[in-house]
Amino acid sequence: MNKDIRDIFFDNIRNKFLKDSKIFILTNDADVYSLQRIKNHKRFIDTGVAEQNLINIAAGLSHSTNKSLIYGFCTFLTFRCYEQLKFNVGSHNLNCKIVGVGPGYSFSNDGPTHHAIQDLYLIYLIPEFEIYNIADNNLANQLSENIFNISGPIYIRLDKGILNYNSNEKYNLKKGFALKKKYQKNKNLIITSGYFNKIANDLSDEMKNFDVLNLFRLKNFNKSMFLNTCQKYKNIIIYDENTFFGGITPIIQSIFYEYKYSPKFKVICSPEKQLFKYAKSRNEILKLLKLDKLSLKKQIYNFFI
Amino acid sequence: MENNFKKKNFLKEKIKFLRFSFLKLILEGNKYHIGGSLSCLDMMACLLYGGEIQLEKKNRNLFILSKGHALGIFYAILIDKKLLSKKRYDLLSRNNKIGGQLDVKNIKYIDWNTGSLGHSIGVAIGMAIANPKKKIYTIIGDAEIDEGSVWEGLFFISEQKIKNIHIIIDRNKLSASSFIEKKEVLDKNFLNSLKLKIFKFNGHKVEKILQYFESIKSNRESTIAIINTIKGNGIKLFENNIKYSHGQPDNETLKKIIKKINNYYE
Repeated sequence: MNKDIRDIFFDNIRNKFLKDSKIFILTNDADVYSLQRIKNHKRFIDTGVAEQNLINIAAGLSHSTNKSLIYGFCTFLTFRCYEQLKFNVGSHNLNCKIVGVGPGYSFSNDGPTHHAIQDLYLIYLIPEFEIYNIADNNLANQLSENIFNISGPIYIRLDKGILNYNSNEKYNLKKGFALKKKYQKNKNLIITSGYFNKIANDLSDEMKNFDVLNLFRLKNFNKSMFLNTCQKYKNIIIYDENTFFGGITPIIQSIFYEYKYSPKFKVICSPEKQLFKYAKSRNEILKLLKLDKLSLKKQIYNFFI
Repeated sequence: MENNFKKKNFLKEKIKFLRFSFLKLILEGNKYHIGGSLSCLDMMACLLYGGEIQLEKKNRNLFILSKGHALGIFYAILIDKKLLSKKRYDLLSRNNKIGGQLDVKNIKYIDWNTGSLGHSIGVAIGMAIANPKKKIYTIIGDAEIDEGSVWEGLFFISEQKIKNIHIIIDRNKLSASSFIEKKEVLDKNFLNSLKLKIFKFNGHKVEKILQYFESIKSNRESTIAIINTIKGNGIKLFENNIKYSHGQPDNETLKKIIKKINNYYE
Protein backbone atom coordinates (compact mmCIF):
# COMPACT_ATOMS: atom_id res chain seq x y z
CA MET A 1 0.00 0.00 0.00
CA ASN A 2 2.62 2.51 -1.02
CA LYS A 3 -0.05 4.94 -2.04
CA ASP A 4 -1.14 8.29 -0.69
CA ILE A 5 -3.57 7.76 2.18
CA ARG A 6 -6.21 9.79 0.32
CA ASP A 7 -6.02 7.51 -2.70
CA ILE A 8 -6.48 4.45 -0.52
CA PHE A 9 -9.48 5.96 1.21
CA PHE A 10 -11.18 7.42 -1.84
CA ASP A 11 -10.48 4.45 -4.14
CA ASN A 12 -12.53 2.35 -1.74
CA ILE A 13 -15.22 5.01 -1.60
CA ARG A 14 -15.38 5.20 -5.39
CA ASN A 15 -15.80 1.42 -5.64
CA LYS A 16 -18.61 1.49 -3.11
CA PHE A 17 -20.25 4.44 -4.86
CA LEU A 18 -20.29 2.62 -8.19
CA LYS A 19 -21.88 -0.47 -6.65
CA ASP A 20 -24.48 1.21 -4.43
CA SER A 21 -27.04 3.55 -6.01
CA LYS A 22 -28.00 4.92 -2.59
CA ILE A 23 -24.63 6.62 -2.13
CA PHE A 24 -24.21 10.29 -3.08
CA ILE A 25 -20.85 12.07 -3.03
CA LEU A 26 -20.75 15.83 -2.53
CA THR A 27 -17.97 18.40 -2.42
CA ASN A 28 -17.34 22.12 -2.16
CA ASP A 29 -15.10 22.30 -5.24
CA ALA A 30 -12.38 20.19 -3.62
CA ASP A 31 -10.31 17.99 -5.86
CA VAL A 32 -9.45 14.40 -5.04
CA TYR A 33 -7.57 12.36 -7.61
CA SER A 34 -9.44 9.09 -7.02
CA LEU A 35 -12.84 10.69 -7.56
CA GLN A 36 -12.03 12.63 -10.73
CA ARG A 37 -13.40 9.94 -13.01
CA ILE A 38 -16.82 9.95 -11.37
CA LYS A 39 -17.22 13.73 -11.32
CA ASN A 40 -19.82 13.65 -14.08
CA HIS A 41 -21.92 10.98 -12.44
CA LYS A 42 -25.43 12.15 -11.55
CA ARG A 43 -24.90 11.13 -7.92
CA PHE A 44 -21.78 13.26 -7.66
CA ILE A 45 -22.68 16.82 -6.64
CA ASP A 46 -20.28 19.74 -6.59
CA THR A 47 -22.03 22.69 -4.97
CA GLY A 48 -19.11 25.05 -5.49
CA VAL A 49 -17.71 26.95 -2.54
CA ALA A 50 -21.02 27.16 -0.68
CA GLU A 51 -20.58 24.98 2.38
CA GLN A 52 -23.87 25.79 4.10
CA ASN A 53 -25.75 24.74 0.99
CA LEU A 54 -23.48 21.70 0.65
CA ILE A 55 -24.39 20.38 4.07
CA ASN A 56 -28.08 21.25 3.67
CA ILE A 57 -28.26 19.36 0.38
CA ALA A 58 -26.48 16.35 1.84
CA ALA A 59 -28.93 16.40 4.75
CA GLY A 60 -31.94 16.56 2.41
CA LEU A 61 -30.52 13.70 0.33
CA SER A 62 -30.10 11.53 3.40
CA HIS A 63 -33.69 12.19 4.47
CA SER A 64 -34.82 8.95 2.85
CA THR A 65 -32.62 5.86 2.82
CA ASN A 66 -29.74 7.50 1.02
CA LYS A 67 -26.19 7.81 2.30
CA SER A 68 -24.09 10.83 1.56
CA LEU A 69 -20.37 11.39 1.77
CA ILE A 70 -19.04 14.92 1.70
CA TYR A 71 -15.41 15.83 1.26
CA GLY A 72 -13.47 19.08 1.42
CA PHE A 73 -10.99 20.90 3.66
CA CYS A 74 -11.35 20.24 7.39
CA THR A 75 -11.61 23.90 8.29
CA PHE A 76 -14.25 24.79 5.71
CA LEU A 77 -16.40 21.71 6.28
CA THR A 78 -16.67 22.50 9.96
CA PHE A 79 -16.40 26.20 10.81
CA ARG A 80 -18.29 27.52 7.77
CA CYS A 81 -21.34 25.35 8.15
CA TYR A 82 -21.42 24.48 11.82
CA GLU A 83 -25.10 25.17 12.41
CA GLN A 84 -26.08 23.10 9.38
CA LEU A 85 -24.00 20.20 10.72
CA LYS A 86 -25.43 20.55 14.19
CA PHE A 87 -29.05 21.00 13.28
CA ASN A 88 -29.72 19.40 9.90
CA VAL A 89 -27.29 16.50 10.07
CA GLY A 90 -26.93 16.03 13.83
CA SER A 91 -30.48 16.54 15.07
CA HIS A 92 -31.82 14.17 12.39
CA ASN A 93 -29.00 11.68 13.11
CA LEU A 94 -28.46 11.26 9.39
CA ASN A 95 -26.21 8.84 7.58
CA CYS A 96 -23.86 11.60 6.43
CA LYS A 97 -20.12 11.05 6.38
CA ILE A 98 -18.01 14.21 6.35
CA VAL A 99 -14.44 13.65 5.19
CA GLY A 100 -12.12 16.52 6.03
CA VAL A 101 -8.79 16.60 4.25
CA GLY A 102 -5.90 18.75 5.44
CA PRO A 103 -5.96 18.15 9.20
CA GLY A 104 -3.43 19.90 11.44
CA TYR A 105 -0.71 21.81 9.62
CA SER A 106 -0.72 19.54 6.58
CA PHE A 107 -1.34 22.59 4.39
CA SER A 108 1.55 24.43 5.99
CA ASN A 109 1.89 27.25 3.52
CA ASP A 110 -1.74 28.39 3.53
CA GLY A 111 -2.04 30.11 6.86
CA PRO A 112 -4.60 29.82 9.65
CA THR A 113 -7.56 29.53 7.25
CA HIS A 114 -6.20 26.08 6.39
CA HIS A 115 -4.73 25.06 9.75
CA ALA A 116 -7.16 22.54 11.14
CA ILE A 117 -6.22 22.57 14.81
CA GLN A 118 -9.60 23.11 16.49
CA ASP A 119 -12.09 21.45 14.14
CA LEU A 120 -11.87 18.13 15.96
CA TYR A 121 -13.32 19.39 19.22
CA LEU A 122 -15.75 21.66 17.40
CA ILE A 123 -17.39 18.57 15.93
CA TYR A 124 -17.01 16.72 19.22
CA LEU A 125 -19.46 19.24 20.68
CA ILE A 126 -22.23 18.00 18.38
CA PRO A 127 -23.65 15.08 20.37
CA GLU A 128 -24.69 12.86 17.46
CA PHE A 129 -21.36 13.00 15.61
CA GLU A 130 -18.70 10.30 15.77
CA ILE A 131 -15.14 11.30 14.86
CA TYR A 132 -12.30 9.30 13.34
CA ASN A 133 -8.85 10.86 13.04
CA ILE A 134 -6.83 8.94 10.46
CA ALA A 135 -3.17 9.22 9.47
CA ASP A 136 -2.34 5.62 8.69
CA ASN A 137 -2.83 3.89 5.33
CA ASN A 138 -3.89 0.65 6.94
CA LEU A 139 -6.49 2.35 9.13
CA ALA A 140 -7.73 4.45 6.20
CA ASN A 141 -8.25 1.25 4.25
CA GLN A 142 -10.17 -0.43 7.06
CA LEU A 143 -12.34 2.58 7.80
CA SER A 144 -13.25 3.32 4.18
CA GLU A 145 -14.17 -0.34 3.68
CA ASN A 146 -16.60 -0.13 6.59
CA ILE A 147 -17.66 3.49 6.57
CA PHE A 148 -21.29 2.92 5.56
CA ASN A 149 -21.70 0.09 8.07
CA ILE A 150 -21.32 2.63 10.87
CA SER A 151 -24.66 4.39 11.22
CA GLY A 152 -25.22 8.07 11.90
CA PRO A 153 -23.12 11.14 11.21
CA ILE A 154 -19.35 10.76 11.20
CA TYR A 155 -16.55 13.28 10.79
CA ILE A 156 -13.38 11.75 9.38
CA ARG A 157 -10.14 13.69 9.41
CA LEU A 158 -7.98 12.24 6.69
CA ASP A 159 -4.30 13.11 6.47
CA LYS A 160 -2.15 13.14 3.36
CA GLY A 161 0.99 11.45 2.07
CA ILE A 162 2.21 7.88 2.17
CA LEU A 163 1.63 6.87 5.78
CA ASN A 164 2.45 3.25 5.59
CA TYR A 165 4.02 2.64 8.98
CA ASN A 166 1.52 0.34 10.64
CA SER A 167 0.63 -2.11 7.93
CA ASN A 168 0.43 -5.14 10.24
CA GLU A 169 -1.82 -3.58 12.85
CA LYS A 170 -5.29 -5.08 13.03
CA TYR A 171 -7.38 -2.12 14.09
CA ASN A 172 -10.57 -2.54 16.03
CA LEU A 173 -12.79 0.29 14.79
CA LYS A 174 -15.25 -0.17 17.62
CA LYS A 175 -12.64 -0.12 20.37
CA GLY A 176 -11.25 3.03 18.85
CA PHE A 177 -7.63 2.98 19.92
CA ALA A 178 -4.50 0.90 19.43
CA LEU A 179 -1.51 0.51 21.68
CA LYS A 180 1.98 0.02 20.32
CA LYS A 181 4.17 -1.55 22.97
CA LYS A 182 7.90 -1.12 22.61
CA TYR A 183 9.13 -2.73 25.71
CA GLN A 184 7.20 -4.93 28.11
CA LYS A 185 8.11 -3.04 31.25
CA ASN A 186 7.56 0.47 29.96
CA LYS A 187 5.88 2.78 32.46
CA ASN A 188 5.76 5.71 30.08
CA LEU A 189 2.98 6.34 27.60
CA ILE A 190 2.32 8.87 24.86
CA ILE A 191 -1.32 9.24 23.88
CA THR A 192 -1.72 10.75 20.48
CA SER A 193 -3.95 10.86 17.41
CA GLY A 194 -3.63 11.41 13.67
CA TYR A 195 -0.32 12.47 12.17
CA PHE A 196 1.39 12.85 15.53
CA ASN A 197 0.93 9.14 16.06
CA LYS A 198 3.43 8.61 13.25
CA ILE A 199 5.96 11.01 14.83
CA ALA A 200 5.56 9.42 18.26
CA ASN A 201 5.91 5.96 16.74
CA ASP A 202 9.09 6.91 14.91
CA LEU A 203 10.57 8.33 18.10
CA SER A 204 9.59 5.37 20.23
CA ASP A 205 11.34 3.10 17.72
CA GLU A 206 14.50 5.07 18.50
CA MET A 207 14.12 5.56 22.24
CA LYS A 208 12.13 2.48 23.21
CA ASN A 209 11.39 3.90 26.66
CA PHE A 210 7.74 4.70 26.02
CA ASP A 211 4.71 3.11 24.39
CA VAL A 212 2.34 4.87 22.03
CA LEU A 213 -1.44 4.84 22.12
CA ASN A 214 -3.21 5.92 18.95
CA LEU A 215 -6.66 7.25 19.82
CA PHE A 216 -8.30 7.29 16.40
CA ARG A 217 -11.97 7.16 17.41
CA LEU A 218 -12.81 10.18 19.50
CA LYS A 219 -16.39 9.83 20.72
CA ASN A 220 -17.69 6.34 21.41
CA PHE A 221 -14.41 4.50 21.90
CA ASN A 222 -14.15 1.86 24.61
CA LYS A 223 -13.50 4.15 27.55
CA SER A 224 -13.09 1.53 30.25
CA MET A 225 -10.53 -0.37 28.17
CA PHE A 226 -8.82 2.91 27.44
CA LEU A 227 -8.66 3.74 31.14
CA ASN A 228 -7.42 0.25 32.05
CA THR A 229 -4.68 0.63 29.49
CA CYS A 230 -3.65 4.06 30.79
CA GLN A 231 -3.64 2.86 34.38
CA LYS A 232 -0.76 0.51 33.59
CA TYR A 233 1.51 3.54 33.15
CA LYS A 234 3.05 5.95 35.62
CA ASN A 235 3.82 8.82 33.29
CA ILE A 236 1.55 9.99 30.50
CA ILE A 237 2.04 12.59 27.81
CA ILE A 238 -0.69 13.78 25.48
CA TYR A 239 0.97 14.73 22.23
CA ASP A 240 -1.46 16.47 19.88
CA GLU A 241 -1.17 18.60 16.76
CA ASN A 242 -4.40 20.35 17.73
CA THR A 243 -4.68 23.02 20.38
CA PHE A 244 -5.33 22.14 24.02
CA PHE A 245 -9.04 22.97 23.81
CA GLY A 246 -9.45 22.08 20.14
CA GLY A 247 -8.14 18.54 20.19
CA ILE A 248 -7.94 15.32 22.16
CA THR A 249 -6.82 16.78 25.51
CA PRO A 250 -10.25 17.68 26.96
CA ILE A 251 -11.59 14.28 25.83
CA ILE A 252 -8.87 12.39 27.70
CA GLN A 253 -8.83 14.69 30.70
CA SER A 254 -12.57 14.30 31.17
CA ILE A 255 -12.16 10.51 31.37
CA PHE A 256 -9.31 10.79 33.88
CA TYR A 257 -11.39 13.25 35.90
CA GLU A 258 -14.50 11.08 35.83
CA TYR A 259 -12.59 8.02 37.07
CA LYS A 260 -10.46 10.02 39.50
CA TYR A 261 -7.29 8.87 37.82
CA SER A 262 -4.37 11.27 38.18
CA PRO A 263 -1.11 10.05 36.71
CA LYS A 264 1.96 12.22 36.23
CA PHE A 265 0.73 14.05 33.22
CA LYS A 266 1.93 16.49 30.56
CA VAL A 267 0.35 17.96 27.43
CA ILE A 268 2.35 18.87 24.34
CA CYS A 269 0.11 20.52 21.78
CA SER A 270 -0.36 23.52 19.50
CA PRO A 271 -0.64 26.98 21.03
CA GLU A 272 -4.07 28.58 21.25
CA LYS A 273 -3.50 31.08 18.49
CA GLN A 274 -4.11 31.67 14.83
CA LEU A 275 -0.71 31.12 13.32
CA PHE A 276 0.21 33.59 10.58
CA LYS A 277 3.37 31.66 9.71
CA TYR A 278 4.05 30.00 6.40
CA ALA A 279 6.33 27.13 5.53
CA LYS A 280 6.98 24.82 2.63
CA SER A 281 6.63 21.76 4.80
CA ARG A 282 4.57 20.70 7.77
CA ASN A 283 7.74 19.82 9.63
CA GLU A 284 9.01 23.41 9.38
CA ILE A 285 5.87 24.66 11.10
CA LEU A 286 6.14 21.93 13.71
CA LYS A 287 9.75 22.96 14.37
CA LEU A 288 8.68 26.57 14.81
CA LEU A 289 6.14 25.45 17.37
CA LYS A 290 8.55 23.00 19.01
CA LEU A 291 6.26 20.14 18.19
CA ASP A 292 8.50 18.19 15.79
CA LYS A 293 10.18 14.89 16.59
CA LEU A 294 13.40 16.43 17.91
CA SER A 295 11.52 18.88 20.14
CA LEU A 296 9.36 16.05 21.41
CA LYS A 297 12.50 14.07 22.24
CA LYS A 298 13.88 16.97 24.29
CA GLN A 299 10.62 17.58 26.09
CA ILE A 300 9.96 14.01 27.07
CA TYR A 301 13.52 13.25 28.13
CA ASN A 302 13.24 14.90 31.52
CA PHE A 303 9.59 14.05 32.03
CA PHE A 304 10.02 10.32 31.54
CA ILE A 305 13.19 10.16 33.64
CA MET B 1 -66.96 24.91 -11.71
CA GLU B 2 -69.25 23.98 -8.87
CA ASN B 3 -66.51 21.84 -7.35
CA ASN B 4 -64.13 24.77 -7.45
CA PHE B 5 -66.68 26.98 -5.74
CA LYS B 6 -67.18 24.36 -3.03
CA LYS B 7 -63.43 23.95 -2.56
CA LYS B 8 -62.93 27.71 -2.19
CA ASN B 9 -65.67 27.99 0.37
CA PHE B 10 -64.42 24.95 2.22
CA LEU B 11 -60.93 26.45 2.43
CA LYS B 12 -62.20 29.86 3.49
CA GLU B 13 -64.18 28.27 6.32
CA LYS B 14 -61.21 26.13 7.25
CA ILE B 15 -58.98 29.20 7.48
CA LYS B 16 -61.40 30.89 9.88
CA PHE B 17 -61.65 27.76 11.97
CA LEU B 18 -57.86 27.27 12.11
CA ARG B 19 -57.35 30.87 13.23
CA PHE B 20 -59.79 30.19 16.04
CA SER B 21 -58.15 26.87 16.99
CA PHE B 22 -54.69 28.39 16.90
CA LEU B 23 -55.65 31.20 19.27
CA LYS B 24 -57.32 28.70 21.57
CA LEU B 25 -54.05 26.75 21.78
CA ILE B 26 -52.35 29.97 22.88
CA LEU B 27 -55.04 30.67 25.43
CA GLU B 28 -54.38 27.22 26.87
CA GLY B 29 -50.85 28.36 27.62
CA ASN B 30 -48.94 27.22 24.54
CA LYS B 31 -46.49 29.77 23.25
CA TYR B 32 -46.43 30.52 19.53
CA HIS B 33 -45.47 33.52 17.42
CA ILE B 34 -48.81 35.05 16.55
CA GLY B 35 -47.90 37.52 13.80
CA GLY B 36 -45.87 35.28 11.51
CA SER B 37 -48.21 32.35 12.06
CA LEU B 38 -51.32 34.22 11.01
CA SER B 39 -49.61 35.66 7.95
CA CYS B 40 -49.01 32.23 6.42
CA LEU B 41 -52.10 30.50 7.79
CA ASP B 42 -54.11 30.85 4.55
CA MET B 43 -51.31 29.39 2.46
CA MET B 44 -50.71 26.53 4.88
CA ALA B 45 -54.39 25.70 4.98
CA CYS B 46 -54.58 25.65 1.18
CA LEU B 47 -51.43 23.52 0.89
CA LEU B 48 -52.52 20.98 3.47
CA TYR B 49 -56.25 20.83 2.71
CA GLY B 50 -56.19 21.69 -0.98
CA GLY B 51 -54.53 18.45 -2.10
CA GLU B 52 -50.95 19.61 -2.64
CA ILE B 53 -49.63 17.93 0.49
CA GLN B 54 -51.72 15.03 1.63
CA LEU B 55 -50.29 14.29 5.03
CA GLU B 56 -52.46 11.18 5.38
CA LYS B 57 -50.80 9.50 2.41
CA LYS B 58 -47.53 7.63 2.50
CA ASN B 59 -46.03 8.50 -0.84
CA ARG B 60 -46.77 12.21 -0.79
CA ASN B 61 -45.18 15.54 -1.63
CA LEU B 62 -42.90 16.91 1.09
CA PHE B 63 -43.24 20.11 3.10
CA ILE B 64 -40.70 22.11 5.07
CA LEU B 65 -42.02 24.91 7.22
CA SER B 66 -38.80 26.89 7.19
CA LYS B 67 -40.27 29.65 9.33
CA GLY B 68 -40.63 27.08 12.07
CA HIS B 69 -42.06 29.54 14.54
CA ALA B 70 -45.36 29.26 12.64
CA LEU B 71 -45.68 25.68 13.86
CA GLY B 72 -48.77 26.38 15.97
CA ILE B 73 -50.80 26.47 12.76
CA PHE B 74 -49.34 23.13 11.75
CA TYR B 75 -50.40 21.60 15.07
CA ALA B 76 -53.89 23.10 14.71
CA ILE B 77 -54.11 21.44 11.29
CA LEU B 78 -52.88 18.07 12.56
CA ILE B 79 -55.45 18.16 15.36
CA ASP B 80 -58.24 19.18 13.00
CA LYS B 81 -57.29 16.42 10.57
CA LYS B 82 -57.26 13.97 13.49
CA LEU B 83 -53.68 13.03 12.69
CA LEU B 84 -52.80 14.13 16.20
CA SER B 85 -55.42 13.83 18.93
CA LYS B 86 -55.87 16.84 21.15
CA LYS B 87 -55.27 14.54 24.10
CA ARG B 88 -51.90 13.48 22.73
CA TYR B 89 -51.02 17.07 21.85
CA ASP B 90 -51.76 18.12 25.44
CA LEU B 91 -49.77 15.19 26.79
CA LEU B 92 -46.76 15.96 24.58
CA SER B 93 -47.00 19.60 25.54
CA ARG B 94 -47.27 18.80 29.27
CA ASN B 95 -44.28 16.47 29.03
CA ASN B 96 -42.19 19.12 27.26
CA LYS B 97 -42.01 16.99 24.12
CA ILE B 98 -43.44 19.61 21.81
CA GLY B 99 -42.98 23.33 22.07
CA GLY B 100 -41.69 26.10 19.87
CA GLN B 101 -39.83 23.94 17.40
CA LEU B 102 -40.87 21.28 14.91
CA ASP B 103 -39.46 17.92 15.87
CA VAL B 104 -39.56 14.89 13.59
CA LYS B 105 -39.02 12.53 16.52
CA ASN B 106 -42.37 13.08 18.20
CA ILE B 107 -44.78 13.68 15.33
CA LYS B 108 -44.43 11.62 12.19
CA TYR B 109 -46.10 14.07 9.80
CA ILE B 110 -43.30 16.57 10.20
CA ASP B 111 -40.84 16.23 7.32
CA TRP B 112 -38.01 18.31 8.77
CA ASN B 113 -36.88 19.92 12.03
CA THR B 114 -36.81 23.67 11.60
CA GLY B 115 -36.04 26.64 13.77
CA SER B 116 -32.75 28.00 12.45
CA LEU B 117 -33.55 30.19 9.50
CA GLY B 118 -32.24 29.84 5.98
CA HIS B 119 -31.72 26.07 5.92
CA SER B 120 -34.78 24.82 4.11
CA ILE B 121 -33.95 25.56 0.48
CA GLY B 122 -30.73 23.52 0.59
CA VAL B 123 -32.49 20.67 2.38
CA ALA B 124 -35.29 20.87 -0.19
CA ILE B 125 -32.70 20.54 -2.96
CA GLY B 126 -31.40 17.33 -1.41
CA MET B 127 -34.95 16.02 -1.06
CA ALA B 128 -35.76 17.06 -4.62
CA ILE B 129 -32.76 15.21 -6.06
CA ALA B 130 -33.55 12.13 -3.99
CA ASN B 131 -37.27 12.26 -4.89
CA PRO B 132 -37.53 13.56 -8.48
CA LYS B 133 -41.19 12.55 -8.79
CA LYS B 134 -42.31 14.45 -5.73
CA LYS B 135 -42.85 18.17 -5.26
CA ILE B 136 -41.00 19.76 -2.37
CA TYR B 137 -42.72 22.79 -0.85
CA THR B 138 -41.17 25.17 1.60
CA ILE B 139 -42.55 28.33 3.20
CA ILE B 140 -39.87 30.80 4.20
CA GLY B 141 -40.18 34.20 5.85
CA ASP B 142 -39.28 37.41 4.07
CA ALA B 143 -36.76 38.33 6.78
CA GLU B 144 -35.19 34.90 6.34
CA ILE B 145 -33.94 35.73 2.85
CA ASP B 146 -31.13 37.75 4.44
CA GLU B 147 -29.46 34.43 5.22
CA GLY B 148 -26.72 33.69 2.70
CA SER B 149 -27.65 30.03 2.56
CA VAL B 150 -30.98 31.01 0.95
CA TRP B 151 -29.07 32.48 -1.98
CA GLU B 152 -26.59 29.62 -2.13
CA GLY B 153 -29.62 27.39 -2.54
CA LEU B 154 -31.39 29.57 -5.10
CA PHE B 155 -28.30 29.81 -7.30
CA PHE B 156 -27.88 26.04 -7.14
CA ILE B 157 -31.51 25.41 -8.16
CA SER B 158 -31.09 27.81 -11.05
CA GLU B 159 -27.73 26.49 -12.26
CA GLN B 160 -28.52 22.81 -11.87
CA LYS B 161 -32.07 23.19 -13.19
CA ILE B 162 -33.67 21.45 -10.25
CA LYS B 163 -37.29 21.04 -11.32
CA ASN B 164 -39.43 20.13 -8.36
CA ILE B 165 -39.03 22.74 -5.62
CA HIS B 166 -41.68 25.32 -4.84
CA ILE B 167 -40.51 28.11 -2.56
CA ILE B 168 -43.17 30.28 -1.00
CA ILE B 169 -41.98 33.54 0.53
CA ASP B 170 -44.32 34.90 3.17
CA ARG B 171 -43.93 38.60 2.43
CA ASN B 172 -45.47 40.10 5.56
CA LYS B 173 -42.98 42.99 5.59
CA LEU B 174 -42.13 42.69 9.26
CA SER B 175 -39.17 40.92 10.75
CA ALA B 176 -38.99 40.04 14.45
CA SER B 177 -38.01 43.59 15.31
CA SER B 178 -38.33 45.88 12.26
CA PHE B 179 -40.41 46.89 9.28
CA ILE B 180 -38.80 45.48 6.12
CA GLU B 181 -41.08 46.73 3.39
CA LYS B 182 -38.05 47.58 1.25
CA LYS B 183 -36.35 44.38 0.19
CA GLU B 184 -34.83 44.96 -3.19
CA VAL B 185 -33.81 41.35 -3.61
CA LEU B 186 -37.49 40.50 -3.87
CA ASP B 187 -37.76 42.60 -6.99
CA LYS B 188 -39.29 40.47 -9.71
CA ASN B 189 -36.65 41.51 -12.27
CA PHE B 190 -33.83 40.49 -9.97
CA LEU B 191 -35.44 37.16 -9.23
CA ASN B 192 -36.17 36.65 -12.92
CA SER B 193 -32.44 36.63 -13.57
CA LEU B 194 -32.35 33.31 -11.69
CA LYS B 195 -34.51 31.90 -14.49
CA LEU B 196 -37.00 30.49 -12.03
CA LYS B 197 -40.71 30.94 -12.54
CA ILE B 198 -41.86 33.74 -10.27
CA PHE B 199 -45.37 34.27 -8.93
CA LYS B 200 -46.56 37.23 -6.93
CA PHE B 201 -50.03 37.40 -5.43
CA ASN B 202 -52.11 38.16 -2.38
CA GLY B 203 -51.49 35.39 0.12
CA HIS B 204 -54.83 35.91 1.80
CA LYS B 205 -56.93 35.32 -1.31
CA VAL B 206 -57.83 31.67 -1.59
CA GLU B 207 -58.72 32.10 -5.27
CA LYS B 208 -55.20 33.37 -6.03
CA ILE B 209 -53.57 30.57 -4.07
CA LEU B 210 -55.60 27.96 -5.93
CA GLN B 211 -54.74 29.57 -9.25
CA TYR B 212 -51.07 29.29 -8.30
CA PHE B 213 -51.47 25.59 -7.49
CA GLU B 214 -53.25 25.10 -10.78
CA SER B 215 -50.47 26.73 -12.78
CA ILE B 216 -47.73 24.63 -11.17
CA LYS B 217 -49.74 21.42 -11.39
CA SER B 218 -48.20 20.08 -14.55
CA ASN B 219 -45.16 22.30 -14.97
CA ARG B 220 -41.71 20.81 -14.56
CA GLU B 221 -39.74 23.70 -13.17
CA SER B 222 -39.04 25.07 -9.74
CA THR B 223 -40.89 28.21 -8.70
CA ILE B 224 -40.81 31.07 -6.25
CA ALA B 225 -44.11 32.47 -5.03
CA ILE B 226 -43.95 35.80 -3.23
CA ILE B 227 -47.17 36.00 -1.32
CA ASN B 228 -48.10 39.43 -0.03
CA THR B 229 -49.47 38.97 3.43
CA ILE B 230 -50.23 40.85 6.62
CA LYS B 231 -48.48 39.91 9.80
CA GLY B 232 -51.16 38.95 12.33
CA ASN B 233 -53.76 38.75 9.57
CA GLY B 234 -57.40 38.42 10.55
CA ILE B 235 -57.26 39.99 13.99
CA LYS B 236 -57.22 43.80 13.99
CA LEU B 237 -55.13 44.10 17.17
CA PHE B 238 -52.39 41.85 15.80
CA GLU B 239 -52.26 43.15 12.24
CA ASN B 240 -48.94 44.84 11.39
CA ASN B 241 -48.35 45.18 15.09
CA ILE B 242 -44.70 44.56 15.90
CA LYS B 243 -45.62 43.90 19.53
CA TYR B 244 -47.27 40.66 18.45
CA SER B 245 -44.53 39.53 16.13
CA HIS B 246 -43.54 37.11 18.83
CA GLY B 247 -45.11 38.67 21.91
CA GLN B 248 -48.16 37.12 23.55
CA PRO B 249 -51.31 39.07 24.41
CA ASP B 250 -52.61 38.87 27.97
CA ASN B 251 -55.32 36.30 28.65
CA GLU B 252 -58.16 38.81 28.99
CA THR B 253 -57.44 40.32 25.59
CA LEU B 254 -57.14 36.90 24.04
CA LYS B 255 -60.38 35.72 25.63
CA LYS B 256 -62.23 38.73 24.19
CA ILE B 257 -60.87 38.04 20.72
CA ILE B 258 -61.73 34.35 20.92
CA LYS B 259 -65.22 35.11 22.25
CA LYS B 260 -65.84 37.35 19.27
CA ILE B 261 -64.78 34.60 16.86
CA ASN B 262 -66.68 32.02 18.88
CA ASN B 263 -69.93 33.88 18.22
CA TYR B 264 -69.41 33.06 14.57
CA TYR B 265 -69.51 29.35 15.33
CA GLU B 266 -72.51 29.51 17.64
